[in-house]
Amino acid sequence: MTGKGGVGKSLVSAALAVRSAQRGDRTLWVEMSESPRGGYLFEDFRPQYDLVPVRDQLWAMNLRLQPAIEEYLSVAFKVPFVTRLIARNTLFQILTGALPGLDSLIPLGKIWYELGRRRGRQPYWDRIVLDAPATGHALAMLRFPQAALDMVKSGNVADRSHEIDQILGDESLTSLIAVSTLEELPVDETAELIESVHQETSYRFAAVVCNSVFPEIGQDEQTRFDAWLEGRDDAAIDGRFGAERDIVRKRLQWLESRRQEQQRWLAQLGSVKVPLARAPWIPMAREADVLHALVEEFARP
Amino acid sequence: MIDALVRQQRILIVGGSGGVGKTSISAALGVAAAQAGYNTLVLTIDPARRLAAALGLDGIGPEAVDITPALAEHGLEVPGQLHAMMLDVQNTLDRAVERYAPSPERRDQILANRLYRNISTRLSGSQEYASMQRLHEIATSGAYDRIVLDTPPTTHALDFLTAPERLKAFFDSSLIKVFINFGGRAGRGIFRVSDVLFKALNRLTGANVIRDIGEFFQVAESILEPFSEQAEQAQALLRQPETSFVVVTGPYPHQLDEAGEFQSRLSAMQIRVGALVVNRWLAPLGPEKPELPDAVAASALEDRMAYWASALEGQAHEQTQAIDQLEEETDIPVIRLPELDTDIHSIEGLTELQWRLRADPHR
Repeated sequence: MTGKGGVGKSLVSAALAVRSAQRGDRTLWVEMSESPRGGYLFEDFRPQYDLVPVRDQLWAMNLRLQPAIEEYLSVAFKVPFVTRLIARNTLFQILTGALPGLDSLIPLGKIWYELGRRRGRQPYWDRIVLDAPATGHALAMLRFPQAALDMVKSGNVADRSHEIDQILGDESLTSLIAVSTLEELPVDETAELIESVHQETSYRFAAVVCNSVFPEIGQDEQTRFDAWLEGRDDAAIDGRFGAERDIVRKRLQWLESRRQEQQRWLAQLGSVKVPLARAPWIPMAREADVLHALVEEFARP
Repeated sequence: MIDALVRQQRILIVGGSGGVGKTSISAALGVAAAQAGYNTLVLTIDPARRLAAALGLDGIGPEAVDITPALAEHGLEVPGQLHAMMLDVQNTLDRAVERYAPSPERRDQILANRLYRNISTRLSGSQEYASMQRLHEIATSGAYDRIVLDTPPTTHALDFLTAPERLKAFFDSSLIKVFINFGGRAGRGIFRVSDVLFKALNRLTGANVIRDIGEFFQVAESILEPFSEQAEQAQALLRQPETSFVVVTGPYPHQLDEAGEFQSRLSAMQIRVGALVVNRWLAPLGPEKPELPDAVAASALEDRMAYWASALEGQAHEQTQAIDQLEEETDIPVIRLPELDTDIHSIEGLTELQWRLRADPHR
């Protein structure tokens, strides 16, 4: 899962992972962040590089770049001082400049390892939910395996790129999901990302999750609701709110106007030709509460 | 509050996390300065398309655009002038290379290097370096009375401050020296470490990549010193009395926490913070936080209305409580900007935002 920073990518991916675990699947939720959200989303949980249990059937790890690189190099080279020299230095930044996307290949390699783990005759994980880097980085990450295969014909990077290319390209195994809010910048960025990925790679996005979608309060009584918002009297509504009537009207006018704006951006997002899913706006402040409510929403039939 | 800030400070730097509305606030500050009679420049990076279109910045190069006539067309006559400019990171870095390269050969070598082309705009800190560089150029040219800098949309606001140092550290690294030597003498004459290192790197990436890197750093070394000096001068600009930060934040508790932390880090570095702007604040309409009714799915219209009205009012109270707390903990003025009904994507919207910013309804 990817998305522009600030749209709730971590929240939505965590909600999907929790839901998957609730259904009984052994689930791994992977963050890739220097400032992980997991500690806010789950109580009594501290994100770390090593695998930790979060709750029944759910495990988590924060795949930070630095330890992932060190781990990868130590496996690849078996020479500790070279490993440290490459990993602990700005050198790696230079290498990723020379080979854009290398910094995401290595964490992806770690996921590839987790995918291959077995538990007896069973796969170790039924599902892995990856809270991947934000949109800008995601494009470099998705471009990388094929670009690397064009540039490097043999060696470690080529082998790993080939494996990851297979996984990303297999739609029965992997779903690419973008998360967006229904606002100008996120919608533009999401549409651009999907267009670029579809043009430049053989991978396909499976869905866009629209996050923080405002509620449709009017539903089958939209005309009546609109009329009241515009100032018309309505005995039942006015009776219900009494002295609060004007405050409620002002509040809901704002919400309705925002909702309609969201609907226009939703229509725009429709042009990406990828199935759209919705995650509602949750009127709570604490992230753990928001996650809990969102999981309940996802659990509805 | 904002009026005083615009009067007193020549340079306003608008900082904050991504997605909180920095660009709109920067543009609104620019309008406020032009209203106050100043010849003003807003230097922005990557604005939303419709805002860029509103400012006349779409499809235009890195030159300043005079948008004073456009303001007048939309009914806003200002006594000063308002110019807007889009930061072009590659162009700014290229010009720095041109200026500091010791010879035309060196210059061409750097500009043509494949690694430089790939790496220069993507390196951590290069956007921030370029915007500091541009700000420094504009500030020393004396062409404008007031400059508003919209900072790059980094995920973390503090990145902006450490960027020049990170970039410098990157070039100063002792490993770079190994590369420079390697590029010059094809790896001979240095201790064994580099042999093993380059073998390892070749295995990882292929030989031509290593050659590019060697060449890049060999030629880059020649302009390192002027580059670093320039970065230091630009950094010094941040601490001058004519410069002040405006920290923009969203209204949610975790965003306010982050803004508070950013502000105290700035203050600790002797960098002035003129105001904390809480953007998109949902103002409470009643005196108390209401009880949230039970969630509703298939209930009557009135029930749904009651639920969402209370939910919004509850949010408003929680946000307000968090803002009050921030205000108590800091001695920087906190400006609350209530939610607008729509996004800002026109000059009318900007004008409205500017009035609200100056009015500060809380006081």
